[in-house]
Amino acid sequence: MDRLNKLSIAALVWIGTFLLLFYFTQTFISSFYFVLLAIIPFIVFLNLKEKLAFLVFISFILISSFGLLTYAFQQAWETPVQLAAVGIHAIIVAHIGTAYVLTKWIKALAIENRQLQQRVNELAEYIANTRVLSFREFNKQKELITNAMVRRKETGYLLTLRMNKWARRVKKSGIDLLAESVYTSVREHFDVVGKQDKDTILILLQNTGEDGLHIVKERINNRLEDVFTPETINKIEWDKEIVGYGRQATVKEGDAQ
Amino acid sequence: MKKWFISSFFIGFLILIGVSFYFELISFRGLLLFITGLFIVLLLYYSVLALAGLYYRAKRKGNMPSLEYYPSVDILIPAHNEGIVLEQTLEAMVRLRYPGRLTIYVLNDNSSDDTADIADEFEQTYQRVRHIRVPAGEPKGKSRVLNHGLEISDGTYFCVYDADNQPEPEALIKLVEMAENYPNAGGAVGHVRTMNEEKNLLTRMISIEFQVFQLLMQAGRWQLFKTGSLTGTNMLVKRSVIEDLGGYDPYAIAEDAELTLRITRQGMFLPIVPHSITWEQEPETMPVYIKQRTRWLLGNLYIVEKTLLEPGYFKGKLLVHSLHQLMVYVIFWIFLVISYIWFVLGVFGYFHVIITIPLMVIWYIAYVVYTIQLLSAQSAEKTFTPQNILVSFIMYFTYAQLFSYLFVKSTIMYMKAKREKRVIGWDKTTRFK
Repeated sequence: MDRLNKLSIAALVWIGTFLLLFYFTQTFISSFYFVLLAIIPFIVFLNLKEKLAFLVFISFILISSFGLLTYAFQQAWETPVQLAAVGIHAIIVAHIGTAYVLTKWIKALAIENRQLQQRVNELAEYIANTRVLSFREFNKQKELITNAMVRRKETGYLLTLRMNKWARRVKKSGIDLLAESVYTSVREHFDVVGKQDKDTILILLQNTGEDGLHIVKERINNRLEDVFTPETINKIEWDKEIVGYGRQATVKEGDAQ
Repeated sequence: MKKWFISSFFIGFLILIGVSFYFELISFRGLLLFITGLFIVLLLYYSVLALAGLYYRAKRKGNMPSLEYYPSVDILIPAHNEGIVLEQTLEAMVRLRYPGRLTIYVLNDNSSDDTADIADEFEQTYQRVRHIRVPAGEPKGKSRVLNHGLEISDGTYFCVYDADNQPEPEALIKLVEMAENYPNAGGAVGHVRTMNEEKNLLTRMISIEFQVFQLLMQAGRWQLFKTGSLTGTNMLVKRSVIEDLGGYDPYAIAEDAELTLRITRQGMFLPIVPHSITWEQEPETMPVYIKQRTRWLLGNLYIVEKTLLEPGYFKGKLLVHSLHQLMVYVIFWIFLVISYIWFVLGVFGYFHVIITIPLMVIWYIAYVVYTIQLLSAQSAEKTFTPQNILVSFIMYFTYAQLFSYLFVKSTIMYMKAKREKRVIGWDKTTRFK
């Protein structure tokens, strides 16, 4: 059974039990409580972790069932009254149970969707709507380029730009603009730009010395000034690493070059 | 002498109830109230077991740190005409990851099919595999074959797998890590999952039942009472422990349950390891299922008899096991039969009682608790599918009711064998391709 069918059936049962409940209890329960009954389980189950949500679900059933039994003993219910109470309790349980199942499957679907999106991003050559390479593709190209540089006895630089200190809400929009600014500052079809994660941009400069690196940095800074405020640019952390022939250890440059 | 005492005790008890009724010392209502109370306690107990089992699973307990040294382990696979499944079983066995010395013994119990050919090929290919031809002997059955396996092997631990089992590569290592790390452990017990769950309705129900058993009787009871039960497969035991106990009881048909009681009586623990998983084939047809379950029930009746006749079964942790055996196979069953008779007499108008106990609500709660257990097991095992949920709702009215039929059948067979002073033979479960 595919997911859509599963969800459709659960939704139908949920609506069905809700209508049944309304039909059997409308004379003594106000519509306000019906709305609560429909909404509260969804809110609770959606906001709890899977195992805790299940624990809440079965605890509710067990407590309400034994509560019903205690009440039945106290009131010395006759069989017809017991039947009616059992029927209504069963419908409530089915209704809340379907709400639990629906939220569980919806959450599972959302998690799976997120995982698939991550996998697509990993496999994609470029980050969507930019000319910046995905981390996987960047590493592939970096490997090829650095090997060729070693053979040709050339030196280059791997620059890492981190935005850890940027405000959380502007990171998502900022990284794409930063990546695009960087991309337009380097040599097209020669240097490569990639996105490592949501906070980090990588730039591989081929056959470049200290002077070349300085020029590129200045060009990047100029581009960034068109888009970002000086405070934001100052919060970018720069690292440089020599790659290719005569590779040396990473040199930490500190904040804002 | 002991049999005479127990028979006298039961007869005396029945006479006492009869006399009490006659002289109106106890009323029908009083008796019914007592039974109702007992039944509600039972329902509460099973609800708590389900919650405890969920807690144990949720906390991911049962995982232990790695060992510096992994002791030697012998895997014992009793096999009598297992040609249909043995190849897949041995494929899984040779994939087991274990850093210590591991020897896999196929204990070929006079098979007449291609079991020997398969075992030979694996023995010639893999260092770890040995094909052992078990000499013919009496009484027939798994216990005698396992005792032979213990005689010809020498590992620090032995681990039993049924011939249709396919353990996951990490199954054994997790059992050993638990047995070595847990203080005073006599071994460790893993989980059994159903590989042919999707085959038909019966296999799906068996699969759900297994999941419930493992959640309540294994994880739940371990969490509450620190008592675990050997399951006959995917179970590890220290060689020194079984040697002290004198090996398997060759007359026990439910040899795993019988050994559990003796190990527990020694004051040793059998911790549960939910993440050590083996996949097992379950009966796909009703006749095979009935044959298998009748054998299990006969084995459990043997244990009930032993519990009542031999001293020391109602002390310490063994009390949990012994009480459970008696509750399920004596008290629960008597109540069940009474309720059936009552129901049938009531339907035909022969018996009518006006009573203010909310029996209908109690019955409903029994159904709710039963179904909750099934759903909890699925939640723990991550097998929540629409099919399983639907089947859970009907299992009470279908699968669960089979127990009464099986129990009556087994009891009659057991009594008959006792009267004729006959040893109840081992019945091998038929495998499916």
